[in-house]
Amino acid sequence: MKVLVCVRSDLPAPMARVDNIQRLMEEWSAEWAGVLEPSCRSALQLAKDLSGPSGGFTALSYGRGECRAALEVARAYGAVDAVHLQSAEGSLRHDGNTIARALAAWVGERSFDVVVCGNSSGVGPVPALVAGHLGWPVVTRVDGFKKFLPQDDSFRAIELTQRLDAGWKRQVLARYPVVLSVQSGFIPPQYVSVRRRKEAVHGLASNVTECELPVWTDGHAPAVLQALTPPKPRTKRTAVPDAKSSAADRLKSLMGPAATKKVEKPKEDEGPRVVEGSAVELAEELLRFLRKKEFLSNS
Amino acid sequence: MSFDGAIVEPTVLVLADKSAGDWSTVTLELLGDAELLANKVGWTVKVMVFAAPGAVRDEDARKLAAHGAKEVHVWEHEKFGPVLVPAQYTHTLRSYLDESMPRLILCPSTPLWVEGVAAAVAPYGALVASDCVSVKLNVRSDLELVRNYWNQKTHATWTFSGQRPWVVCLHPGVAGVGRPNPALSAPVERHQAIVLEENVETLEWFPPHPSRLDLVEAERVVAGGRGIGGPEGFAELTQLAELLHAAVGASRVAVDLGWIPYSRQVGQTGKTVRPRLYMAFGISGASQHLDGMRDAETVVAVNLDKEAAIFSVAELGLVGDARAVIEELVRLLKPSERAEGARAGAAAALSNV
Amino acid sequence: MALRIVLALFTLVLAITMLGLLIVRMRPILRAMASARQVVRWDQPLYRIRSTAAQVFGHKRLLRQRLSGILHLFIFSGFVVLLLDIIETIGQLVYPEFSIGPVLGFLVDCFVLLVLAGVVLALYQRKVLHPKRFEGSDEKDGELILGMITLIVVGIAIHNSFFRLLEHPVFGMTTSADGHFLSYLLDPLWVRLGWGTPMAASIGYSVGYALDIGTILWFLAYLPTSKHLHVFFGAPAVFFRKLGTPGRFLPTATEVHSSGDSGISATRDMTVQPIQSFADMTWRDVLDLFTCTECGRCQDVCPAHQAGQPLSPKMLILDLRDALVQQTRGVESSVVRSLSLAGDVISAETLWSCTTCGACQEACPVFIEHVPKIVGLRAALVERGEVEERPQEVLEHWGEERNAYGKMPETRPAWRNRVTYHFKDLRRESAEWLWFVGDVASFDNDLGVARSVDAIATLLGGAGLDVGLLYDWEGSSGNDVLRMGEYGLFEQLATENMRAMERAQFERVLTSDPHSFNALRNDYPQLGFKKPIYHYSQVLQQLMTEGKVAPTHSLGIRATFHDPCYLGRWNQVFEAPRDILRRCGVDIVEMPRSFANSFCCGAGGGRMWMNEAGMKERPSEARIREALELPGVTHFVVSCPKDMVMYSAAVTALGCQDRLSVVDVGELVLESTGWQFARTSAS
Ligand SMILES: Cc1cc2nc3c(=O)[nH]c(=O)nc-3n(C[C@H](O)[C@H](O)[C@H](O)COP(=O)(O)OP(=O)(O)OC[C@H]3O[C@@H](n4cnc5c(N)ncnc54)[C@H](O)[C@@H]3O)c2cc1C
Ligand code: SF4
Ligand code: SF4
Repeated sequence: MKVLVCVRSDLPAPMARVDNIQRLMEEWSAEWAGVLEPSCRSALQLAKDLSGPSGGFTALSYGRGECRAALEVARAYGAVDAVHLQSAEGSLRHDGNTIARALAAWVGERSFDVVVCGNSSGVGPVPALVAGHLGWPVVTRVDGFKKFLPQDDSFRAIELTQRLDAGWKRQVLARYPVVLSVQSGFIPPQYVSVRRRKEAVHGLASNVTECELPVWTDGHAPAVLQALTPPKPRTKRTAVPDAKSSAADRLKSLMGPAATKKVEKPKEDEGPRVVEGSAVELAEELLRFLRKKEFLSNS
Repeated sequence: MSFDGAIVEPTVLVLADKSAGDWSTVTLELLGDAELLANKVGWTVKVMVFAAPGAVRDEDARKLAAHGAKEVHVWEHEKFGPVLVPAQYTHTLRSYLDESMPRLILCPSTPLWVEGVAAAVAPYGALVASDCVSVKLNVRSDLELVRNYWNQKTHATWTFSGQRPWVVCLHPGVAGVGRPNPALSAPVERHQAIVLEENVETLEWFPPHPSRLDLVEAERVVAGGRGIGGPEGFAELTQLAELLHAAVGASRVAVDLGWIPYSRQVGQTGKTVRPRLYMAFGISGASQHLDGMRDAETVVAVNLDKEAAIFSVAELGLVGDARAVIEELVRLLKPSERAEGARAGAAAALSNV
Repeated sequence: MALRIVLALFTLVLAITMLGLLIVRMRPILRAMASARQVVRWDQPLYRIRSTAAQVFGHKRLLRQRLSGILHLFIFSGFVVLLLDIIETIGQLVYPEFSIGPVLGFLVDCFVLLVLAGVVLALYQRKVLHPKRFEGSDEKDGELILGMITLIVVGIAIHNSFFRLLEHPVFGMTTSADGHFLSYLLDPLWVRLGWGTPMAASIGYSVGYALDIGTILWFLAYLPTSKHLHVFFGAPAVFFRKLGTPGRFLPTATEVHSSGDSGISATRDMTVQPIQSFADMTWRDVLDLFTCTECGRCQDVCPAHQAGQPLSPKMLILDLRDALVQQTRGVESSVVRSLSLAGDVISAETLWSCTTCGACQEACPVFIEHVPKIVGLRAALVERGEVEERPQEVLEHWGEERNAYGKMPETRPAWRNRVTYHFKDLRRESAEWLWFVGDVASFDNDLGVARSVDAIATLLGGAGLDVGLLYDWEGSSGNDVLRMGEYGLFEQLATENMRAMERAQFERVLTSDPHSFNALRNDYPQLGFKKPIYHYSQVLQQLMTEGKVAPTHSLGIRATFHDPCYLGRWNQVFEAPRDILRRCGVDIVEMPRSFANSFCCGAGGGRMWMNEAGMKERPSEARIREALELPGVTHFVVSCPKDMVMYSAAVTALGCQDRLSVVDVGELVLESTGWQFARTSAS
């Protein structure tokens, strides 16, 4: 089985601030060595497990200097080939659509059986987009694999467990070629010691394959990053409880954020509150709160 | 507008999520945003639902209409219940897109939708944005999105332009649900879906259980500490968890006392969780416990002690007996009563018309 | 004549066979030692000889356990006296007139009785008292050895007594006074029994002789597979022990220098080796395995063992020994060899249970070094990537943010916003002292930790000490990292800290964290660090002596003081904190386990961040119970931020906050000075 794992570098979680990110969009200096994005760690572990003790796997990273960190760890995990897919700008400037296109174009020119991608918090579109571009099936949120079937040329497949919504799981048999996505923590990853990492760095110098981006442009404009800002919560729409409000008000509330500002409840109501009362009162208060926060439907 | 030969229609397609019984909140939030955009440029808001036969009743569809849907397309198939699998609706979605390509697709930013929709739309060259906080059309009629980055520590604004269809996945709970207009209605079309998973075959299904729900990925966690009084307390908490679709967590003391296994411990020597909702029952809020749940979006705490440290991180603090509150909550949330409540609510809505 | 020839032949044949066996059975052990890694333990030979003598002949450590110590002294002295007997007995065989003289003869008989008394005591201990520390020891072996010892001394008495009956009739000697007073008691008995005839006496003599010399020879051949190998290895083990401050983990330059390749390119990092196989152990480690007496003293004091975790330091040594024996014997060698030491022979769970408190090493009468082995085996797990989820996260934080808490390095000095004393910024200005704050004191949210840091800051400021901080240049000292077996990461952290400390201008270091204290004091110097380092209790003691910190009122409380492992046992600092407490008018009541025998809080060696599932009783809670037993004690005094965290939680868990408060030494000193918290140095 030929396994490819796509990995990316990220900045350490506590460093994720607008100023830092902006700097890193320009260049990742040595001082700012990135770290492996956590779900990619699970992806590496899965790739390693899949390819078994004897088989090697290939690791691919898209971007510029930042790829080094991810590829180092990939090597330390046992990737035999580390491929750097060079982009014109740092990968932080590119969105998932562009990256998925590039990855798919590169993979399409080769013959991998399984492509494993990390998917941080499960809402990254890249693995699924890659699969879609390649026309391969994607098994999302893989949290383990059971066994290989006897591999002959007519039927080559693996058995995987996949997490679904609301705690459901299923066991699937997936034929090659297939894209797999994993979230961080799904596959308990091995620790990579500093020594192992150093050895990998040693081996990396001679073992990175630098690859030019394949030509894939379809003539359409890519997504463009306009600005990075500190997070600012969006003003929430609220259902005005008063049914007898005027049509104009009703329209306003339907017009969404900006328009509904005036009907919003005063801010101090949102602050921490400590309430006393009987169990029934407390439970009702709690349910009211959950409804207000839309954790429970309002019906 | 045309796209690679196919006609791109002036519609916004909202993928509605009914996996938790009723329409999820984010579905209604999506409708609010869809209607806003549609009103601005004259698009039509269409809703697409994947559901088991009979799971979407006409009154459910009416609710969508009340929130702005102009057409409701229900695709039915046995395999769409009790749990929806991303790969199982992609074929249906694609065959729909082959016929009528919307300008914009809106869906919840949850694994179920992001990965399923992305896989379906990639061949059409669509641009996909996940984890969005807000979306609007700018003066050049480009789509302008604000997206969460790095665990919501940063916002990034992106623009989508060009002729390709756009897909926007909205982070649940940020937009808010607008006021419904029960006077509105929409035609409901029901179709027989075809589920076709190419090259992937399901061998076995494993249904969920609150005590097996992965704490780390759970959107909601209900946790108990010493104040919950014993294993029976946890049995009740588990019931509550089931009703709220939450995972069960615990403090170290509760684990020490053998009321619940270690795998459920939240804190410095247990799991670190980042749920959208964290409810702490009878937990004092020692620093080592807070370490594991500080990043929860919304914290609710029930504790007898008004001075308990947990209240310092709680948005809502309730001073009272944990067991009693849990029992009340379970009573109030029990499906039978809830169904009744829902029916009463529906009746009230109708009488408003 | 015939009798002597027969016995001589018997002795010769038996000696050749048994000594041959001894050699054959010892060879694999010696070979294992020879093929192990080198470490030099020849330095300070005179001191080594002196201290070895004190331990071997004075039983210094053994006597800490009264009964066992005394009975061992009886038996041990018997062994020494035994030599005299062997000389006499063999001598008589060659030349019947030979004698060691009445005085020594008398001594031999005295010791025959003492040894028998020792054996009886030993049996009483094993069979009646049955201390828990023997759990898991090979008790058959112990009893067999006791049996052998009995046979030997009984044999001595028998052949000596019959010898007197043979002297005249068979050897043609005049009866001499040989001092063997037991013979005077036994001879009449033999005669009464009718065994006084030369024939019977010859048989009796031969039987006694065979019991004595035969058993001794059998014993020699038996030794290599017995815990009694310590007869040979005990003294060398004491002699070749690690000298200097016990807390040092990294080998010194002398220890590695003349190792194998003359140390030219032997990088420091090669000197701490993950123990994947026995070849990665030092010869000293191998020696340890065969020296262990299975006495279980280490198991008795081990906090992990008491907490019901799978670790027993004794069983760890024995399991390793058994695995090595199997390997050397070639038994199922392919299977055995494919087992990994860390993981298969010793389970990962066992290895991660250790708090690296060092109580085991402190208790061991033959100075076995458990901690380096445990850490070496952990290192093997680390290199293979087998680290539990939580500690793995912490290791990554250390690697990425240089603190265990995963916080931004810039936020390290955030605590100082609470105090008004202005600490110098050593990144830019110079100061006399550097306060190396450490991870826990800088980042932990525990309220007690905050209180203690504030108190220390206020005291230092109030005393007008010229103190600076490294701000975000400071990183974790790596003390725990090293002991979790992540050598590479330790090196990385230590190198960065040392680079920062080289760039900063200061003369000495003080730290509020015993773990950092240990690393900076013992391990950093091996990497080239040279500045003196003090624990804050030592600094406070000095300031009080100089009158810069002056208690104005006596606190008049009864308190107990907990010796932190990394301050007390590992660094031998016991007096400073006690002294300052006394100066503040604190009446110190010692817990049963205090000073070098202090009982670990359970946080060391990375345990603070590990899964505690399966613990029966947390060490910290056992410790608080111990303190609660002390009459009238209201305060539990700590001098380590980790202790503060662990014991505050333990007190809450036990619900005894109103009976016992956990306070830091600094807090009490501050209280007795009457200074207000956060007093500035200017005011
Ligand atoms: C190194 C270390 C690591 C640790 N790791 C963790 C960890 O990972 N996770 C963790 O949780 N803890 C951890 N702790 C333990 C932590 O310090 C606390 O002891 C623990 O969190 C307390 O649990 P608790 O809140 O359930 O119990 P308590 O502190 O005893 O609190 C019980 C609370 O319940 C309230 N209460 C009592 N009866 C009722 C009632 N009938 N109704 C409502 N409220 C009631 C009380 O007012 C009190 O606030 C760690 C401690 C240490 C030292
Ligand atoms: S160092 Fe402490 S915890 Fe570890 S084995 Fe020795 S006594 Fe037990
Ligand atoms: S290691 Fe030392 S203390 Fe432990 S059983 Fe062996 S000899 Fe006794």
